[in-house]
Amino acid sequence: MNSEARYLSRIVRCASGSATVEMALIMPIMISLMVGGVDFGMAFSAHATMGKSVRNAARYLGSLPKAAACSSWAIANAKNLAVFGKVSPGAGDSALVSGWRTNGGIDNNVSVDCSTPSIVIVSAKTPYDILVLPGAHTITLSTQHEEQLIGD
Amino acid sequence: MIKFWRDLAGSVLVEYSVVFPTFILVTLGAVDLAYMLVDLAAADKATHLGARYAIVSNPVAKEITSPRYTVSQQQQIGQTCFDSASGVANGNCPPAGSLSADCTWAANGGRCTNGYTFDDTAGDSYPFTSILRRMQAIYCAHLKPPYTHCPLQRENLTVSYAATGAGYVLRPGGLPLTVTVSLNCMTHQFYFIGALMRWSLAPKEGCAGAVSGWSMPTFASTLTSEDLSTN
Repeated sequence: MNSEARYLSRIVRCASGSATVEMALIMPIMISLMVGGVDFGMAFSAHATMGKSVRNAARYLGSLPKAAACSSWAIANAKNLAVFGKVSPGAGDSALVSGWRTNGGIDNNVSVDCSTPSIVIVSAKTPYDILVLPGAHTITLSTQHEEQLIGD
Repeated sequence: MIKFWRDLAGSVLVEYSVVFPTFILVTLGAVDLAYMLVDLAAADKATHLGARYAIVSNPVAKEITSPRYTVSQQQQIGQTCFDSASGVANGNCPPAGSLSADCTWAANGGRCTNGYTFDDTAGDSYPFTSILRRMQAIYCAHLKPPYTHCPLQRENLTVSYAATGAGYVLRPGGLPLTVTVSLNCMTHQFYFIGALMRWSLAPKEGCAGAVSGWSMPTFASTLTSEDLSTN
């Protein structure tokens, strides 16, 4: 056996530092699993907040007189109620779900459907940036609530 | 010296002493992180339930369900408070700005902004405490009333009312309001990595007293009022 082959076989058989190497292999997997868990929790929490906001907006519209419920001002109020938790938010008010907007394009909005008589359907979409895959990886959270117009 | 350098006895122990603390730190850190998420979720859920309870209880701001109408406004009984086409207030009802109040607990007792009376009927039956008890039952589910050791206390709670501008003149039970229940100045204690988290123990702006843990963000939940009456 020549000297190079002997040297290589020594490296391959060498067991010192193996625990450190194993640790280095396992650590990225463990950390990405942990961050993935946090990610899931945060996305779930954002979705739950959206759900209750949209429900609140639909209930607000449902309580208005039928003539007013689907007017543009009522829809604008309902959208603000969903995103900011108040009918007329000030400049300093931030969205209940970070990044959520009332009219932010096809993947970030609140929309009101009045096409069914006596029923109002409020749906919403918001993008969620995945922590474990930073950069371009975004999922769209969506939610919807249907409410009878009771008129008040 | 060279003999000592080449000596491999105990090398596994040395490696173990490097890897083991890191492994334990990551494992216990994961447990602490998960527990922090549980704490955040519980506080958030407490505001949901608090708001749900608040909209069917007597208001903390006592007079908010009995707006004062002028004589000429009273003659418009049954008319809407707003113009149906534009949604702007038409003067039939008291202005929405006057029908709003933030109710909090301070060292000298409860108080509401905008001149409203804090309803402090004695005992657990008064609205602020009954909302608080509901929230403590969620946040401190492991404790029993009166929740003396619960980190969620009346100083953390704010109940706000604001008119939406909807409704009609002399509507029974007052004009429609949005009710917001929020929790401020809550802190979270880390168990295992507490000693490493000292850097995060900055006091939150507007919060009194010494900081005993990581300051959690403000939690708030808003719902439209229903029957603002306990009975």
